[in-house]
Amino acid sequence: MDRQRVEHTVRSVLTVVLKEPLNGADVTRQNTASWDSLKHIEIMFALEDELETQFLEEELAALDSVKKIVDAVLSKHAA
Amino acid sequence: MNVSGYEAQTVLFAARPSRLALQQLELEGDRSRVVTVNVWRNHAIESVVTATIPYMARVGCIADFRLSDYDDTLMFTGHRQADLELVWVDSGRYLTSTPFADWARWLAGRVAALRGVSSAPVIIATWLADAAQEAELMARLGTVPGVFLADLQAACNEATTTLIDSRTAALAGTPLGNAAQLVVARKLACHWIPAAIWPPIKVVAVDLDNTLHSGVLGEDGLGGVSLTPAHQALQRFLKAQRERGVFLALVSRNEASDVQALFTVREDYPLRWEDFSATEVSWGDKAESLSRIAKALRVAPDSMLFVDDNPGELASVVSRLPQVHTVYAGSDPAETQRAIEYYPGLWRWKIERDDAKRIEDLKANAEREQLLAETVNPSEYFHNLHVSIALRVNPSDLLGRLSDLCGKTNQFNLALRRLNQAELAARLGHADDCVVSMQLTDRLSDSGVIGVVVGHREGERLIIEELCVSCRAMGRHLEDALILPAICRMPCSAGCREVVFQVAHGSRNQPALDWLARIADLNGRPAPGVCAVDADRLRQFPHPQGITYVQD
Repeated sequence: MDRQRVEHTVRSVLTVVLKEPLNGADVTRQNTASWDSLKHIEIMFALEDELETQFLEEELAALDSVKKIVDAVLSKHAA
Repeated sequence: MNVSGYEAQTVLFAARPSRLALQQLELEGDRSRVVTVNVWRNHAIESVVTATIPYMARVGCIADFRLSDYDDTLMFTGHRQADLELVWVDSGRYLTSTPFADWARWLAGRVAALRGVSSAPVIIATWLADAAQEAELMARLGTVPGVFLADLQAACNEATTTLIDSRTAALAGTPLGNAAQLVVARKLACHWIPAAIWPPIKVVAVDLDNTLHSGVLGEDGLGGVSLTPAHQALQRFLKAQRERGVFLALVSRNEASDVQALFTVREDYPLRWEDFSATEVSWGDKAESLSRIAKALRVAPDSMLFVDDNPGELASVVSRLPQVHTVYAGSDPAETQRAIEYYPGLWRWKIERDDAKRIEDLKANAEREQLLAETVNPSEYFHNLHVSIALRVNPSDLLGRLSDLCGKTNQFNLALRRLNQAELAARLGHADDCVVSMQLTDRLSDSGVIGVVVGHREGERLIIEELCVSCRAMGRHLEDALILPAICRMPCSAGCREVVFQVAHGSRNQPALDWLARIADLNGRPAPGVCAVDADRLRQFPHPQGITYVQD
């Protein structure tokens, strides 16, 4: 699974769940007002479905940007 | 992109729904129906609520979930009236420190307190360790009317999904895992909420070719049409619905003789010809066929679900009979089965004994009609049939059935109050109120409890708040014999001078209005509002002879 494909999936999931287009390349919870705690769990659930992966409990809370999510998914697939 | 309900079926009724696919669905069509749901909770429900939206939208509905703060004590603070009360509790938060019996007693007490401020149906959604705990909790809750227990663990077991995901619990605010949430959302939107507040689907009318089997009978022949394992499962599912009191009807464009031969020759078909309470096999219009089926089965079009593999046929039926519900039979029979199984109104909380009698009772009607045609004297007709009517005053054990009657009856329903179980129960304890059930039996079948009348005394007047007679008792010339004695036997009717009927005009309650017009000797149907009749006129109204009354 390559970075481009993972990032595309992550951004698609965020767009659908947040119901708005994403601004810029570096999308984080800090710079995206609609990415609140309720949306965050839905994003994590949807990502687990779409990427056929399972995040650890500590990752679920810590993965708060597109970049961190992509990195975490790639490292899981590499492992 | 907006999609039709038929196109959305693949996503909605996938064996394992996808959260993202559900969120992407934008269903076209009207959403004029709003259901308000008070949610009393001690754990999060938000990500379940999100997943219910497309299921509700598919049937033109929006659910307005009003979420309480997290409250383990269930104080119901800030209660407002709603269509439904949902008690959404994580049982684990109590049972780590409290014995189950104590918690069940406490929960039943809180639900009784909720019932004190709300007459809406109450669904308790939680999970229990085993069937024994469920039975114990149900026994406790059984003392509170109109309460249903939704066991999330059982729903997940049925879907072979794990309920709890401790990994996500802290972040999600609920121990329910992702897959479990989607299973529960579908159950909530398609089974639990509709079964608590909406009238049921009474008829499933199915097409034959490429619906009950693969292939076209007229082209492939009796042996050429293919019954795959999934088609077999679909047929078995439909047959099971019949055993639950749902009528099956067959609507097919074919030669009638070919179709009858198919069900005779193909012994591998779980469904048999006689399983269909009505059949319409012709080259005619399917909307007209469905209208004839509704008439034959004495049901309204809005209690029918029509299943066909041809979207054009479905669209044509909807344009002619917009009240008829429809499901598209796509290429995957398992998906079609789930689309039917999850159609709101088909699943019920409880199958009453009287529901299962409906099909045999209708069969007996043909014989009754023949007997009536051959008999000149109505008393002789009743006598020949051994008609027996049992009237019961304030029957506390029948409240489920009586509230079903209030909710389901459309044609002979005078006030259309739709009193629910809690509202009926509230009337049992007062001397000025009375609920009378009507049960009908003859030598051909036991029709069960087919009517209810609810009265309230105000001074010298008896107000009839609700009067319903099931369509299965109609056409048997028994309305007077059922209703007038039921009113006269109300303890609170003794000595009253006037009986005041509450009257509402619905789209299909003309039979009730016509009955009252005759009883009250009106010129035309009574206007909406109230219609007063001299009590002595009702007491002296001539009753048909030849009927046996069974005392309570």
